[in-house]
Amino acid sequence: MTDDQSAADDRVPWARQAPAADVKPVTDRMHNLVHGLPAWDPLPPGEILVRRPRE
Amino acid sequence: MSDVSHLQRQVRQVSSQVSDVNSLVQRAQQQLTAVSVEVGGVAAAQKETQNELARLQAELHKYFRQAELAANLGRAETKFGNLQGEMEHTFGHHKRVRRTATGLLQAFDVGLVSEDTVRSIGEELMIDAPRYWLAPALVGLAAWSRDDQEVCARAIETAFGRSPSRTALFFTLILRRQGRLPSATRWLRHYLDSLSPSALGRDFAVILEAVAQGAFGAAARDLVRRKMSEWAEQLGNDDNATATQVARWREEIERYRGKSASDDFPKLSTLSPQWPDLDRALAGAASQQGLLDTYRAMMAEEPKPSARIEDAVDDILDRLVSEYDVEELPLKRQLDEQEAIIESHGDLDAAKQVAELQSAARDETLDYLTIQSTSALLPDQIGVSRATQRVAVSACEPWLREAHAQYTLEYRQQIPDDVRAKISSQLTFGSSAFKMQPWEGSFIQQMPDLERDLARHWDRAIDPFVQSLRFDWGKAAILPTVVLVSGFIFFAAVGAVVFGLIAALVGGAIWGGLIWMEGEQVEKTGLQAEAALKKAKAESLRQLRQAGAELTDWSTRFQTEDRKETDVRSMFDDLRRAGGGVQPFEQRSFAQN
Repeated sequence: MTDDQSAADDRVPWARQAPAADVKPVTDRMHNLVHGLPAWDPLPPGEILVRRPRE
Repeated sequence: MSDVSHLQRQVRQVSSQVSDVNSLVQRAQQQLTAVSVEVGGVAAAQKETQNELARLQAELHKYFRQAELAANLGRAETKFGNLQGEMEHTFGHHKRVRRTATGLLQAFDVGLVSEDTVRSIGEELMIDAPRYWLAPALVGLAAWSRDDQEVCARAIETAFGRSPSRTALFFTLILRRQGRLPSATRWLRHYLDSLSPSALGRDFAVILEAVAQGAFGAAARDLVRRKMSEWAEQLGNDDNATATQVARWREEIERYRGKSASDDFPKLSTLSPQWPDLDRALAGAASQQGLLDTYRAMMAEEPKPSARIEDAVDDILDRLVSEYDVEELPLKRQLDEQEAIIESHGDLDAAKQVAELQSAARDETLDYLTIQSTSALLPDQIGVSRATQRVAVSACEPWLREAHAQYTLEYRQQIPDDVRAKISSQLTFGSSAFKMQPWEGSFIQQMPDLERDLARHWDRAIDPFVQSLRFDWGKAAILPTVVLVSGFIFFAAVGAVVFGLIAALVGGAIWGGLIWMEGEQVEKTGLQAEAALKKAKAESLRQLRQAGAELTDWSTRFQTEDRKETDVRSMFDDLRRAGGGVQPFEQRSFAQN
């Protein structure tokens, strides 16, 4: 195995390389759900939510 | 007497003069040695001076270098301070927006978003940072949490207008975190629409991985698959790009090519000039099984879900809210350059190298086709999981199919129309060499016909050779007859008829005996050669029959391997479908202990 090959093997795969400007995690990664959020969701512009009142 | 004493005197004089010359030479040598020592001393002193000079020069260089580094460092520190001031003055509000975003994300992560937290995030934040996408995105997020639909919609429209891709990614990730998968998928579509398939960053690879692992649900996987097909079609219009990908898949198929089967077909491989083509075709057909084994195993494998995928997705969110805005980047790059100079203690070259590496790592993108093929063929190299590999293989199916079709056609075309056997023979018997002209026959003919033809060829070669080995008694008798008759005539002419007759009879008996012995020996060798050649003929006929049988075996084996091509094509259909997931409702749930 050449030096280049072994260097290539040691290299972090492209998709797992964090950019140099990467920062420490800003959250504790609790992944909790926020209670009390409205039933509707923020929608992308141009998309509408039609609500039909219960009869 | 007086002459002798005069001579002695003169010798003594000469001797004393020689002695004087000797002492002079010795003195000269001593002086030379002294001079040499002095010269050595001068050389040592000169070397010392040179060393001293070199040391001084090095110290001077070091001093200048240190002065230069110190000046660079000083300048960089001043520039860094100025740039920081300028950054603070021009984009200080961006920093405030990022701090606010961090606070809000932390509140969302803990699951407690208080009134106080969201109250501070009003629409004035959008006005403070008039071109920064994150400000209205945060306002929209805060408005959502306090159930203010109108402000939320307005803020989102503003954020989307400032940066569609970042806004879409931001809400995709936020909504996924809150388990609102249908809405996250709607945002995901906008995010994918905002990307350019010719320059995709690592974030896309992470999203692809998360989607493939079911973190966004089945609908998102379907959406991504459709988008990938659209990109593949878009980029696939470029014939070169498609050809490159097909060639990569062709290489992949070549990996499964079988080994040479010469050991399994020893006679056919020896006798048939077409064996290399037959061998290549069989090895080519053997790859069908390799492909079936590998890709069926990939489809059957239950992908192990990564426990870290949520964290990787959250890393993207962290980066999104921490990264600098486009208009901040020129100043940020200058700041980074000066910071690199400070960190390298004023070494401009080292700092430049670091800055270039950072910049290259930050800006590195790949086109979609490369990401897709590499994810499918070398998932470890690009850093994606088996699940993503399956999605990628599914998307690459048209290239794989085309490469496979080309490959199959090629090895089938290698099968020769006419498989022939070529037999020749060369044997040596004493001083005689038997050489049979090569015989060739086609296996298209019936084996008995072939055998007959070969046997006739052998006979045509053996008969004249055996004939040539027979002893020619007549030829052998000519010389003795001539000699003996001539001798008898000679003796008869000189009057010794009786003696001549006796001599001729005795000579004839001895010579005849010798010729008889030689003739017997030659006849014996001829018989041995004939037997050996008949044996060789029988052996070559046996080999021909064996080669014919091996050709039948080869044909059966080739057909068995080649028939699997249909299974491989059916498997491609399964592969295409497998990209959608193991089952249509598959999705990922996340729980933290």
